[in-house]
Amino acid sequence: MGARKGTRVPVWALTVLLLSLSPSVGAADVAGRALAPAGPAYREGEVLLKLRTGARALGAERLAGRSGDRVLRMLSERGVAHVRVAAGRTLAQALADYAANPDVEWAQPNYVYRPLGVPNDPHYAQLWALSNTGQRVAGASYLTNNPGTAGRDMRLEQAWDLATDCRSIVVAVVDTGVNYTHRDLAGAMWDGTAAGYPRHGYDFIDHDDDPLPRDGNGHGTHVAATIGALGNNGVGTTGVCWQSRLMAVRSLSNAGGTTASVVAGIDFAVRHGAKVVNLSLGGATFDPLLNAVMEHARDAGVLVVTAAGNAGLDNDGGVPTYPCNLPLENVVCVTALDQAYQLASFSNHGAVSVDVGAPGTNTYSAWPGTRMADDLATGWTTVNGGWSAVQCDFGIGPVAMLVNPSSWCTFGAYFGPIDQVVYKSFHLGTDVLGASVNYYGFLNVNQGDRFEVGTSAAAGNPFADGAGRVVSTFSGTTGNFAVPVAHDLADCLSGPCTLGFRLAAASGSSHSGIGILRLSIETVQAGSDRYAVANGTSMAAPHVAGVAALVWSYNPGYRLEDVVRALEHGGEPVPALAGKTVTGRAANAWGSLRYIDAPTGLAASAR
Amino acid sequence: MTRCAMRWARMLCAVCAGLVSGGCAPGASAERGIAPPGSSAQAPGEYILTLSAGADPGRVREAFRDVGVIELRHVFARHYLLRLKRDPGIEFVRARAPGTVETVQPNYEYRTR
Repeated sequence: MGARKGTRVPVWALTVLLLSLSPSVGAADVAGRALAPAGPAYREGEVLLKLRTGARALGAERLAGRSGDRVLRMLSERGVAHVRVAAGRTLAQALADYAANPDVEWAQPNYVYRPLGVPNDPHYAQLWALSNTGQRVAGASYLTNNPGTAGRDMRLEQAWDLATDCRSIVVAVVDTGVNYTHRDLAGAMWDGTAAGYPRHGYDFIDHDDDPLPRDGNGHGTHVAATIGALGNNGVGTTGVCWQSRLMAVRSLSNAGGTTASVVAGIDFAVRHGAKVVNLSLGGATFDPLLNAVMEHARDAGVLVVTAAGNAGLDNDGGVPTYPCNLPLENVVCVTALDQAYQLASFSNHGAVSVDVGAPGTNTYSAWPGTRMADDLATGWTTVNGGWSAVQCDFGIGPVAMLVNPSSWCTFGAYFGPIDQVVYKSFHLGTDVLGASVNYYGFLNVNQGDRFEVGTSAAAGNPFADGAGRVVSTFSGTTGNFAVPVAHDLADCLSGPCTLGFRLAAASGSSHSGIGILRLSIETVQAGSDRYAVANGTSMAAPHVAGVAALVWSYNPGYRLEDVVRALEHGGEPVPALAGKTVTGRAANAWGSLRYIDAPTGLAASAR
Repeated sequence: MTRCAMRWARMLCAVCAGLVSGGCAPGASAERGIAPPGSSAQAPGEYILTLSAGADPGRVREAFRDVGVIELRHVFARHYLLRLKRDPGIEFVRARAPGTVETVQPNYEYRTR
């Protein structure tokens, strides 16, 4: 039976119907919830009811008490009661009972109302870039100005009153790949099925159509979620855009990328409809082919947002960063601000080459899986001695290290002939799609001697005959530098994963040896619910890319140059950026949405 | 270098390794893989070749057969990646390239920032 137009349907009836059809309303359900504000629509276990005039003498307490319910308060003198439903009774049952009660005029759920522009994502309070309340970011690794200054943010809460949905603009994240199964990203990815790319992009490192970061690198996932983690879905964080179409293009691995992988990635993005490309990457040399593909992007009307670099240098002072330093109209280069809108200590800048600033410290965003930090003290097995787990004092307190020789901290040396192994087995967890081990190493062995890294999908010495695989061999010296190192653990994603280090030296050979510190294993998990804090101009750029997508979605008639103008002129003047950037401004979503200039490319004629 | 100086140098580098927080970040490490700092900013043995319109890439492969071609891959427009088993240097590649190759450039390296 359908209700005729104009027929009044009792609120309670609709509500009971909805409740009975959708018992999981309010549960965290990422996919398909983007259009409507998510989160509980009403308070579970609470009812508002109005007694009929003749029943008021009965009293709401007695009426509710018959079912074990309790009146919390009377909301008006006209018989409206706020009732707590007894434990064990569902809201649907209570509403049905009250609706059938002749003493009740009407009953309804206690609906939830929220201020506009504030998403319900549980970690939203960590996102100082979007709303800086002077909060202290938990797990921060950039210690200056944490907490910062309230109000120093990109004014997203005001902007979101105008626009939250960026799905009309495809944003390409050309980076280390994206864990597109992450629960805050799965519903925000570009659908490339029709174009033959059902996994949301392409991998120009492994040359296949799966841009998942199987080497465990979380950079691209973090960047992607800063732009477009599903917002107001009651899960994790929100991006600048609450709804997005993010194209994942893997052009970097743990070892970085090259002209070939980056240029092919940008070309892929342009050919498949991206209007904004985020490049949180850089190189040190002018690259003619990179310049050519960026011009190609410009000619296609594509905006490229890129990072200034993290060396704390002036990009105009003889140490350029590319593509930041390319003088192209479609390139917007971004420096990093801290929580008080001071220039981040690590951030490159440039009055000619760097366009705007944006938040880039203590940025909380999605991460592809778990990070298991090893204590470098327990569980390591040695073969033929040599290796030791020690606490080494660099003058800044003890640091856990794995060293060979054991006297490494006191500047000892190894003496060949030796063939010494240390290894440990790890369990990476379930639903692991990829993993890598990361550490810093002081590596000093003679030419002809070998420092090897081996992995095995079984317990035991990975260097034993046929047991495992040597993933890296190094001869030479890093001097007094501890270089960051990463190795792919793709061979041992299930069961035990054994990691081993080997130092082999010829007779008579001697050098200062190996010092390993800060070892951790990064995994990529299916349906990851992980998040991490990161710093860098890499984190500043996607904030601007997100604002660009928001502005362009809100103004679909804008051309590339209109969006660039809105980003630059709609920004907020920041003293710390004066003389350090072209505009002296920080990206500001509210300002950019409100920025109105005559659109370009329009022709008028007098008749 | 004295032990005292070595100690200070190692301490500074431990700071660089993120033991004291600063600009270091998950995934923001400047160098990955085992490569000494200051190592080449271009992939050894890898070059980007721009071919003239309509040129046959097979001629490039043939020209470098004796050097050992790992891969000749299309990158973008008329630009191809040439990966060689050993690095003969860019001047050798320019000299050896057939006349249909207009330009040769290194395959530069890029990192997260």
